[in-house]
Amino acid sequence: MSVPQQAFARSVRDELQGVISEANGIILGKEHVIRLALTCLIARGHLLIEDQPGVGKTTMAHMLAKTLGLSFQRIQFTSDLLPADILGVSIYNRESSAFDFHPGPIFSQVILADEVNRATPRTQSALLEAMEEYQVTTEGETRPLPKPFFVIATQNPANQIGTFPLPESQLDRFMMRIELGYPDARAERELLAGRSRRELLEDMQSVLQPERLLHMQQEATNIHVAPALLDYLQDLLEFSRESRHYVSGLSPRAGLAILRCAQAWALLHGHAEVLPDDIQAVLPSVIGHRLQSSLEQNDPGAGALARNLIEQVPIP
Amino acid sequence: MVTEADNTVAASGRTGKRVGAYLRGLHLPANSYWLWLALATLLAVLPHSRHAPIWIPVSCIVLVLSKLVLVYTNRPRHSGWALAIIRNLLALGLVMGVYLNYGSLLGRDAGVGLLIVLSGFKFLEARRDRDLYVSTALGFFLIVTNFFYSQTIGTAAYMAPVVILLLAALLDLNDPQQALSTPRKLQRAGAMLLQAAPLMLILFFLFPRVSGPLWGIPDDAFSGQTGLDDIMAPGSISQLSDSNEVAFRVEFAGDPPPTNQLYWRGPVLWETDGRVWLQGKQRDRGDVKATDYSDGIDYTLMLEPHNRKWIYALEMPTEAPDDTGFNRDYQLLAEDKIRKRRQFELTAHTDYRLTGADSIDFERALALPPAQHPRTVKLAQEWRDQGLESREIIDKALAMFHNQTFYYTVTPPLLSGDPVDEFLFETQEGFCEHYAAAFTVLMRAAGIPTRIVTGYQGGRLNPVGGYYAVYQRDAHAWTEVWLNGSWQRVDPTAAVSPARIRDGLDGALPESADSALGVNRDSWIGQTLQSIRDNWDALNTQWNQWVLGYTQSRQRDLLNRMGIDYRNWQELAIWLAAIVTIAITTMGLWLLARRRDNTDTARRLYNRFCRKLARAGLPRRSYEGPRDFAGRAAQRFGAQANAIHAITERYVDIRYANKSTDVTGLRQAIQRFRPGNAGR
Repeated sequence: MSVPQQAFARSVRDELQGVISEANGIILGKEHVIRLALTCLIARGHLLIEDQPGVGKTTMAHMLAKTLGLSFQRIQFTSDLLPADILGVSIYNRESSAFDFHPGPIFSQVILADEVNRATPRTQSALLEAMEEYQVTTEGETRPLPKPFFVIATQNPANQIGTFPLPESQLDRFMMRIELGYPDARAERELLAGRSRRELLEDMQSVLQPERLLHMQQEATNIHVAPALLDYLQDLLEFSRESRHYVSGLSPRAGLAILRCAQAWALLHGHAEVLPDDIQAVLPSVIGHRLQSSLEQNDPGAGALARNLIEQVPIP
Repeated sequence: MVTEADNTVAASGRTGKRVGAYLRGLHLPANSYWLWLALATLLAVLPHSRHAPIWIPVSCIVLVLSKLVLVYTNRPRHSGWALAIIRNLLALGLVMGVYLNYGSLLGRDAGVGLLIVLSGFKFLEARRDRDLYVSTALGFFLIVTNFFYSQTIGTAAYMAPVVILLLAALLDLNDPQQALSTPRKLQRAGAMLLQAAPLMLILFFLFPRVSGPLWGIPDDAFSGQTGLDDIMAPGSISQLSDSNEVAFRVEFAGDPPPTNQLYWRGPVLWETDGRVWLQGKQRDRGDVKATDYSDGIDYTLMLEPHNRKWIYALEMPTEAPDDTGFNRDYQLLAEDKIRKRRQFELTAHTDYRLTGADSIDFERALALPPAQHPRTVKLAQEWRDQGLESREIIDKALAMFHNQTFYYTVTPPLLSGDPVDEFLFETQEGFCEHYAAAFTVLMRAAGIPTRIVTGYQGGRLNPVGGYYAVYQRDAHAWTEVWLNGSWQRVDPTAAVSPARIRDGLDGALPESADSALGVNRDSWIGQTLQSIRDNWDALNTQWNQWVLGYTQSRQRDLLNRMGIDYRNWQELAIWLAAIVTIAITTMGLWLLARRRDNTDTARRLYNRFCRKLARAGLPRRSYEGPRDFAGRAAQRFGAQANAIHAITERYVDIRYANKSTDVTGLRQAIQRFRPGNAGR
């Protein structure tokens, strides 16, 4: 581990601190969640926000795009949304006697897929395919998506009416799932007394250039991972597979996601190495939608499940 | 975050209860632990019901089951002085019971009985952590005791899963959260057993073998073994004819001799009261010797234990191997009674002359009980009066057996009067002992010195193992007459039923069916059964030869060949200790290899740092990351915050950042660190 890398990590922390304080001005009292969302973005992962309507999911996605200076498109998912509405269509151009491709909203750096579980599975999978491949294939032609490409999907809790819950295999495509939760009393008072969030968003300045973000994403993968840390990560994975508290263990993909997020988390905090602490910080959000309690009744909830996992595995 | 923590506690309320119990020194294991242990204990005790008085295994089982009832009705702890008295009385009663039963608390049977009832009792009263481990350890002892009684493949195969169950119980005991599922536990326990296999093999090959049993096993250990006796009476050999037990097995180095020459020499009987034949006085070998007239036949004799010194050698050996000797009857004897399976390398000569006899021998070989067998004696005297030669008299007697209506059967009619006369002149139905006895009386009455030789005749080739198995049913009696200056074998049974000698008992008794299952031997079922039996017997022979037959001398041969030379068992023990140490060290290093670098030192130092903080009242949780812990510690010991962060960062740099290897700096910082002083 070199000194320049350490210095780089510090500078990243300061830069991102700017993003965070900017964001804090809009989404009140949710610094931890904002950090997690940024972590996910730096780890090149897609983000799923699950919560009640009206707690600021959309504002959050909007704000992220804006502060990072990224192009932004919002797709409101409904039950009659078709894949072509997302991906785009070719229309015959009489003048050039050819089909012109009219790109859909997906050709954008940040996609806000609002209420993704309200669309039919067919439409959902069109989006999820793009998320996995970073390219779109329509009418036999493959078109790359812009870089960085980041999907923030929001969904309402599955028990609401008119939802098509995402299957586990597709949930797995999201690196993190976070919950916003209600604001605390002080933040709520500020929210009620202050200006409308929409206006605030419009006034916001971008803090970061897209090239800078790509650079950070690259650097995050270089954050040092010691064998001792991999031991710990493997112990966690093994425990999840052996324990009968869970329906099934964590997949290798989940393990990679944990590691990438922990690296991004370390970078975000100005560290040049990953510690077990970093893994523990991101773990609830990374595995919350991947791990299922085997208890039929008394499901302890995703957060408690992850906390339980952490507490059962000693750090080697 | 707070709500999540609350959830955890709520979701596992049992955990909270258990933690509380643990603090009071009572670590309550999960119910499943008792189930594992109960199952293992019951399975280990079950085989003992074959030999122990039934109340011993039954009381153990009752104790174990009542504990299970207590556990599953949530009354695992029973305290109070009244119960304590009852408990002590119960234990005393069990010990008394064993004492009254065996008249002792020592020795194999009483010791095992004591262990069985008391391990049931320990199971019932186990409460503390320590008790649970003791109970589990007792289970291992129970498993071992089974091998005092049986060392077959079956026993070993039965006990291996019981060991796995016990290991699973140990795993369960150390898994209070019940994080491992049942199949996982079994799988882990199996893996542990496999991991122990290399060590087990080293111990097997190198543990010093002693020539006798390690501790004095009382005589009762060997009662109930069937086989030939040193007394012969009408019916004593034929009662062995339905025994399918193997007496011994023989592996010939070259071509085996024909079956009709397979006479395996046992005790020689001289004296009779008219009905029963005895060996009589044992005399020294003197000048008795066998001279060979044919090439030697080398073979290995694997003798089953029969609690006698007799070694059933193929007639006729000329030299006795080490630790064995001939008596005057030219019977091969071991130095001690054969109480475990033993193996002998022998050579036989089927063409031989057995010479050496003095006047005492002749006197004994001609003696007849006074005033008995009048008709037989009269017949013999008639022959002698005709002026016949000894050879001619022998032939005449054999011809009589062959030509008259003598019948060879395992179920002869009972002889109520003079057994020899009645057999020879009335019933004419008998087994080999009838013919041998009648022939001997005839010869002696005719003035020809004759004695009875008992032993086995024939044997069955096991086509799978390539060896001969000689069963108890092959027990036989024949005679030796003194003719032309040597003892010569005459088998009167061969005159009556040549098939018995040529084909064995089955050939001689064609009507006989498979006695165990009532299946005709020639049907395909009978043949399949026979083939299964052959395979099983061959497998057992390998087991006997290589596992149970791994004796002191074999151990020495094998180890010498491997270059391990030792003079006595103490030296071997040193070898053993050395090799076990090397093996364990190698395995340990191999296991540690993954984590062995200088980050290990850093971790050790960091643990010391954590212990200092723990003594100051702030223990690190096992899952707590270094920076999280540092934050907590800095808050608690504000004055030392800088030192805490500095130490943590040094540790992180070595262990997680690969940024430094400066262990000394870390060590010094930790040595200087005094969390206790900070607060004051």
